[in-house]
Amino acid sequence: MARCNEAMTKGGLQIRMTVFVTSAVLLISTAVLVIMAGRISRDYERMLDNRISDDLVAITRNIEQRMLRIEDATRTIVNTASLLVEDISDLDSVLYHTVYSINDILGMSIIYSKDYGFVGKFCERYAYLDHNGRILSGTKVYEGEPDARYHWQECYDRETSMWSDPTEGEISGLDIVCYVMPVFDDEGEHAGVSYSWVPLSYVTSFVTSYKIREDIDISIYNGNGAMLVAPDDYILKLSPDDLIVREAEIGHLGWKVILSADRNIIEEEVRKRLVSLGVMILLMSILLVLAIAFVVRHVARPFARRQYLIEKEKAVMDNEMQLASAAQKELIPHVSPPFPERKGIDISATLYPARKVGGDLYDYFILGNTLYFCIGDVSGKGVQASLFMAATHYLFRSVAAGNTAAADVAGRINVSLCADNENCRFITFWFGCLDLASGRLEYVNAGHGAPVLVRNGKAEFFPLSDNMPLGIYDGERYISRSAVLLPGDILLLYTDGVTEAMNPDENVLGPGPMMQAAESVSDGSASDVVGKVLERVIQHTSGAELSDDVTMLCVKFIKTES
Amino acid sequence: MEIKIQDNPENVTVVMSGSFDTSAAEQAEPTVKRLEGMASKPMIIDCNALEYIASSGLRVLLRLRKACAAQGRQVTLSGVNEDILEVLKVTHFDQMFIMK
Repeated sequence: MARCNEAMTKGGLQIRMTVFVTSAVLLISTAVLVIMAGRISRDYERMLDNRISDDLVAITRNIEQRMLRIEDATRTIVNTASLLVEDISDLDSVLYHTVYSINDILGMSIIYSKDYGFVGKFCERYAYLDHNGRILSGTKVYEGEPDARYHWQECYDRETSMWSDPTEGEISGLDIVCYVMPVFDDEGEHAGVSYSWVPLSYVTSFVTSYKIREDIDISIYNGNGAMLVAPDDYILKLSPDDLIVREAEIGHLGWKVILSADRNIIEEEVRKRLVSLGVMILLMSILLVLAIAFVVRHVARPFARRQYLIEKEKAVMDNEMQLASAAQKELIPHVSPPFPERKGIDISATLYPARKVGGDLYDYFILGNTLYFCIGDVSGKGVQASLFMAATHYLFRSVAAGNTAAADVAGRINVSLCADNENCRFITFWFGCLDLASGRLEYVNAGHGAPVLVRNGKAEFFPLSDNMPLGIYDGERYISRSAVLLPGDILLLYTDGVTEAMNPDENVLGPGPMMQAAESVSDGSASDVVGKVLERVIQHTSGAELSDDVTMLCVKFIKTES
Repeated sequence: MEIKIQDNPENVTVVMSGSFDTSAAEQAEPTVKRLEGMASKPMIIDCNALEYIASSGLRVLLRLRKACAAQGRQVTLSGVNEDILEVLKVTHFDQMFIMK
C-alpha cells in the first residue's frame, strides 16, 4: 500500500507539473497570438502604410542623393570648363576624365553659343561612353542654332540649371535625361550650355538597386508628367482596388516617385508573419515543456521522493507518539469521578503534557480504607522523561500498595530508580497515604514543591518535608511527616508547569493566582478546583506554547468514613 | 542561557547566565559533555548571573557532580540567588554541592 502511494505521489507530481505547465504555456501562447492578431488586424492599414511609406522615404532619399552627386560633379566640370573655353584640348581632356570617373554620367557635352574659334558658333564638344566601353570625344556642329529645345533655351535665359525631360540623345541614340547647366566665359557672359547625360536605364537601375522589397513597384515621373521610370506591367493590370499606392516628390528635382504594391501580396506577407510568429511561440513552448520535464525528472522528483520519505517517517513518528501519548494517559487514573461509591472523598486530576508525551505523573488508588496518592515531575521533557515517569509509576504501584509508611515507600522507589541511572535523571515526588476513616495523612516530599491546602476558604502552602528527589542518591534517607485533614479540606498537588506557566512576555503565573483560583471554588468539588486553576493557567498563557507539563491532583476530604 | 568555560590550572570555572530551562539544557548538551570530560579538576559553577533553573538544569548540575565525584573532585556552586537556593534546599541539592 505504501509503495503504491509512493508511486502515485511521484508519478502524480510529474504529471501534475507537466499538465500545469503545458496548459499554462498553451494558454499564454494563445493569448499572445490572439492579441497579436487583433493588433495586426486593427493596425493593418497603418502597418501597410508604414511599410510602404518607410520604403518610399528611403528610396526617395537615395535617388535624390545620387542625383545630387551628379549635379555636383557637373557643376565642378562646368566651372572648370568656363575657364577653358579658349583651350579646346584642355576642355576635351576635362570632359574625357569626367565621363571616365563618374559612373553615373554616360556622357557630357558643352554647346557653345558663341564662336570661340573652335569650329564656329553652336558647336557641341562632347565625350561619352559608347556601348563598347570606349570613351568617344568629338565635336558636333549645328547648322544655325541647334534645336531650340525648351530646356536649352530656358536654362540659357534664366541662367539656372535644370533637369531636362527625357529625350533621345542625338549623339548617343539612347533615351536620356540631362542635367543642363549654363556656362559662362571669363567675362561672365553666357558661353553656352553643358549637358550631363544620364540614360533612363541608369535611373531605372538606381531605383531597382534601392528597392527594399521585390513586390513593391517603383515608377518615376518628372514635373511635366514625363515618365522616367516605367511601372511594371503587372501593376498596370491590377485594378485600383487591389493597389496600395503612395507617392512622394524629390524636392528640387520636381520628380514624383510612386510606389505601388499589390495589396494581396502584402496581406499574404502579414499572414505569413503571423504564422511564423505562431510557430515560433509553439516551438518555444515545446522547449519550455521539455526543460520543465527535465527539471521535474532530475530535480523535483528526487526532491519529492526525499520529501515523501521524510513525511512518511514523520507520519510514523507522529503515529508512534500518538500511541505513546495514549499509552501514557492510560497508565494514570482517568475515570471521573474515580470512586463514586466513596462519599467521604472527592478526587480530580489533570495531566496536560507540553509535548506529546510528558514527564509528569500523578496517581492514586484506594486499598482498604487508605487513599494512596502522589504527584511527580521528571527532570526534562519528552520521550526520555516519559519513560522514567512510566518506570516510577509502576514502582509506585508495586511498592506503595499496602505500605503506609510513606518514607519507606519513597526510599524503596528511590533505590530502584538510582540503579543504572547513568543519565542522572530524577523525579521530584510527593506521596501521601490518607486514612479515610480518620483523615490522618502521612506524606513524604522528595524535592517537590509544597502542595496547597485550602481550609475554610483560605489557601496556604502545606508544610513540607525536605528530601532529595528520587533517583539521585540511593543512600538517601527519606523523612515523612504527618497531618490531619479536616472535613472540607482541599489538598491541591501540582507540578511547576502550573506555577511557572509563561505568558507571551515570558512572565510566570506564580503561586498567588493559583491559590486565589483554588480559594474561589473552595465550596465546589475537586473537579471545580482543577478546572478553575486550569482556566487561570490558560488565561495567563493566552495562546503561548506551554513550557512545561501542567499537572494537578486535587483531593477534597469531605468527611470521615467508617 | 549562556555557559562560559574557563579552564584554569587549578580548577575549571563555569559561568552560567540566564534561564536554565529544559530547552536550554537540551541545547547545552555538547557543552555538558565537554565539561564532563574536564572533571579531573575541581569545578566551580558561577551562578551569579543565573536567574532561573528548571529540573533539567538541576539534572545537568547532577551530571557534572557525578563526573567530578568519579575522579574524587567536588563541585562548588557560587553566587546562587535566593529563588534558586530555595529550589536547591527543597530538593536537598544544597547538600550535594559546596555552596559558596
